[in-house]
Amino acid sequence: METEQKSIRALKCEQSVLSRADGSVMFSQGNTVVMASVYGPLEAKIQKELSDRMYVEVNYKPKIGMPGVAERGKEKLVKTTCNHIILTNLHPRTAVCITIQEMQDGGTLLSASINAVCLALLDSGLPLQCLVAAVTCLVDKKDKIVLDPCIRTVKEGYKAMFTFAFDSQKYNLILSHCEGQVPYTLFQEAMELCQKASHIIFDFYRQAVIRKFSKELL
Amino acid sequence: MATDHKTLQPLEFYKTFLDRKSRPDGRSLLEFRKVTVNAGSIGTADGSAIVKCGNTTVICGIKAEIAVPGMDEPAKGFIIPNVTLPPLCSSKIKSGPPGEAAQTATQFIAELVANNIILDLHTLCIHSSKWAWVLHCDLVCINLDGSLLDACVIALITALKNVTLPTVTYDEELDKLICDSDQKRPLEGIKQPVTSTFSLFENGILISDPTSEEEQLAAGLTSITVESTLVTHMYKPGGCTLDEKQVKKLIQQSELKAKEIVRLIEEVCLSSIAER
Repeated sequence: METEQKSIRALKCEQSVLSRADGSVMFSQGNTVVMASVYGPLEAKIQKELSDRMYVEVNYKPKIGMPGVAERGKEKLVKTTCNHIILTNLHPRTAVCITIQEMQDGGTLLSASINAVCLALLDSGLPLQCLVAAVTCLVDKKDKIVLDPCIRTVKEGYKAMFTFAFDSQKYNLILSHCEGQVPYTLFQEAMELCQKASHIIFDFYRQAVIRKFSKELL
Repeated sequence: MATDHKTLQPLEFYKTFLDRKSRPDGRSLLEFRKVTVNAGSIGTADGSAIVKCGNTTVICGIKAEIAVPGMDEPAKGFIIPNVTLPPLCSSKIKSGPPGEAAQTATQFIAELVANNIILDLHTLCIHSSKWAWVLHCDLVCINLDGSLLDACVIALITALKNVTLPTVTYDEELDKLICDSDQKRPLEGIKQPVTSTFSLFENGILISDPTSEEEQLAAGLTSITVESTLVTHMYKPGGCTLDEKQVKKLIQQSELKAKEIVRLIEEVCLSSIAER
């Protein structure tokens, strides 16, 4: 078993792209481009209001067509991740509305969405417990692990595709989503590889925030 | 006194049990509830099953029809799952269009189907690019008490094993489908993935097969699907973090549960075939 690709694709982001949103980002990972916006804390609807915490609402908009059941699945994954990283106890009876717009599908939409949401939350200034970095990897039909696959690799077919998200404190697993079957040893190897790659994404977040504030200071 | 404590501070009440490594219903932390499976109870369906995991009850009914395969996959049939959570199953479900819980459960099952984890969809093809079977699988939960995904997967597998389809042949010259309703055959090649749900608390406490109260109090939830020795899906939608050792422990627990459930499903299917 060899790893074909030991690093993730190029990461680019532009923060505060939307003038009205509290936090927004246009994020690209290779050819996958996603825009995320954060509005919050907002006044929550009475049905959704929670007495002790902030209610997190996520909307995922696909590029074409109406959001369907698949989009609901992605929304749930992002929502429960955000519930963990945002310090919701500090803003009870309010809501935060996160919107993810798919701009271009280059193969790893779920992990790009999670990374974009993390950057947008950083941009918005909401209090966070930790940051989150998501990485996708693919086990192709010859048992080779490919990190951060592009859409062509995905379309060629695979044995399994994993998306893992890690926190920035202890690099433990926050989110896991898999498609396909592999023996446990391959699963563990894929998880370790993604964990190492998450360090690159955390460094990128740091660089993005340094750049943003150095521009403001000028 | 205990009920007052439970209403006012549910998490504290629950923690008093966790400190003693036990739970309100008397189970140990990693013990699963009793699973009861019944196959073939719905006469009008092509295949059916009822599963009870503790109090969580899910009914699966499968209806087959014939359709033209899609242009991008001309040799594949279809399995269309749909998980319904009617308001009668839980006080938290309101009437109206399917809520988030039902849609995410449907998406979970649809992903298992799409990755050929339950059945190779090529076996449902009658004639490539002309005709294929479509199996509409309706999973209705009539009592929701945690671990919905576990019960849904067991119900779906058992119902699929219970399905009998009439033999259909395609006559190329006449361009007609000839259906023989007397010759019914079961589906072949149904795999047996088993899902186990665990809830996670801070301080690294892991609890298996949570009830709906335990799911609400938990800091995180994860559902692990295994099939014999292969890890199929680790569905962990956010929530509190897990380190490698905990992941390994959960996967080992799921494998233990999977062995028992597979044995149970095979017993039920054998006895339902004997009844026919």
